[in-house]
Amino acid sequence: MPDAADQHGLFYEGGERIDGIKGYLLSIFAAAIICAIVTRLMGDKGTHGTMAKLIAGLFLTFTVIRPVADVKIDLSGLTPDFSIAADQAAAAGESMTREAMAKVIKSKTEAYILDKAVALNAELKVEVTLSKDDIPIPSAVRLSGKISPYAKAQLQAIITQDLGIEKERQLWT
Amino acid sequence: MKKLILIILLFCYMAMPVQAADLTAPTAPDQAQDLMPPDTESFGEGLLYVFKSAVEKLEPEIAAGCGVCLAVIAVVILTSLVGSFPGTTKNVTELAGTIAVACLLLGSANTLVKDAAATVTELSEYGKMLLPVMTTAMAAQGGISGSAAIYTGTAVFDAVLCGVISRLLVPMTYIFLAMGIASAAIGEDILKKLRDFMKWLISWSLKIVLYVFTGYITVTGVVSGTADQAALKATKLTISGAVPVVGSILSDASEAILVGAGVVKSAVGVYGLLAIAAIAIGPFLRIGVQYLLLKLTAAICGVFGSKKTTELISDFSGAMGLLLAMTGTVCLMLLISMVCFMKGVSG
Repeated sequence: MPDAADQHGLFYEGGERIDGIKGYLLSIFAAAIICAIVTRLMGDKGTHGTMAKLIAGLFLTFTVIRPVADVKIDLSGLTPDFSIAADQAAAAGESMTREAMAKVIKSKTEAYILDKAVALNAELKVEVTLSKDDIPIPSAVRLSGKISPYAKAQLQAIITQDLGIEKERQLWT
Repeated sequence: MKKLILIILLFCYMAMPVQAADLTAPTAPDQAQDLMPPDTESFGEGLLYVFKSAVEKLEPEIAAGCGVCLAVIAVVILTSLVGSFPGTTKNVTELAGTIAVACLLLGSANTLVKDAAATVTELSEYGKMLLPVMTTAMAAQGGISGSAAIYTGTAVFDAVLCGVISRLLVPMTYIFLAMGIASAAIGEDILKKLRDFMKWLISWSLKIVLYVFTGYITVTGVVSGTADQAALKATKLTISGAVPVVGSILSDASEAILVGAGVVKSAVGVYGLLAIAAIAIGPFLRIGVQYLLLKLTAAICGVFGSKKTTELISDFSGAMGLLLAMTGTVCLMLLISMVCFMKGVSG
């Protein structure tokens, strides 16, 4: 997962764009101040005043329009970093759920087998292996301990029937 | 009731140690930490605590703000008095008054602009630490595509907004103030129009970003929420189709994990919401108080002061309004995002 600083990429890379807009606004501000001072000094009335207003207007229009011609829009690389980070975080949550679920399923399945073994007077150690599917299900079991042949046959049948683990995948030691 | 919640939380903690250990909200920054409630279980009580703590710390700010506003009122009264004497040039006294008012207000305005910019950055930084945690928590509850979509959307909009505010809108606020001062000093109509344009541009930039973000979150919430619901239903079908005993074990485990993930996500979300509120509330109140005081000052000065000076004070209160909008937009965007995460996969 990228750290907070890495996720700031967008305007670090695009900083020049923002600086350009800032400069553009500042130039309009400066032009407006110059125009305001010039028109104020020349006065509102008379030929000089009209000419000054016209020139100031043209100057301001030029200041506003000229940088627009140089604008280049480049939106490449706007989101990929974020979507990768988002997918990574979501995948972490998914695997977290899977791991937690696997733990619960494993312990509950082992407890179920041990419960049945106790009912058949057997003292066993059980270790269940789960499948690697999206939903982990019991796929194999390793059993060790003291058990009579009759109880073993009974327990094998129970494990196959109730838990869906075939006899071939039940390892008795 | 509290005991019952504790028992449920304990059960969930025991049921899935991985989630409880890994999913914790990032600690709020130092200044916000002072406002955080000791117990973050209840959002309502926590929010009230944050608000009370922030208001308690506001007293010196109110006193300072009142001092500046009283000084401004004194200057306006003085210039009006001097201007009323026969033989004095009206333009000169007005210009002197404008410069004096601008000098008085620029200091506090500068501090608050910097405060707002720092708050926006701090909110954004905290959001960037909180987003992955919330995404993981929501994905753990089954909202895999939904959480990724909210994360991507919030991160992109947050980066855009934070970049635009700190590098464009904050300097534009200074330009807005400069335009206001120049307009009051020179009295040209063009400066007034450009000043109004700046204000319009700043407020509409913020509004548009917030509208687009809300639209994005609404649409992706529906689209990815449907996909997540379908995936959850498919999982339930797979579980119910398994061998009876295995099916029951899977169903129990899945239920416990989803409920546990929901509790953890809710706890992280409530802490995150309170931390966001704690970061934003201090500067928001400080700027808000200054905004109200300046509005009041402009109203009082409108009675005896010149039109230009009163407009200048209104411009400063307008700048405070813009700062409120900036911090408010970033805060609201993060809050909307957190609520969407907390809502999770519905249905």
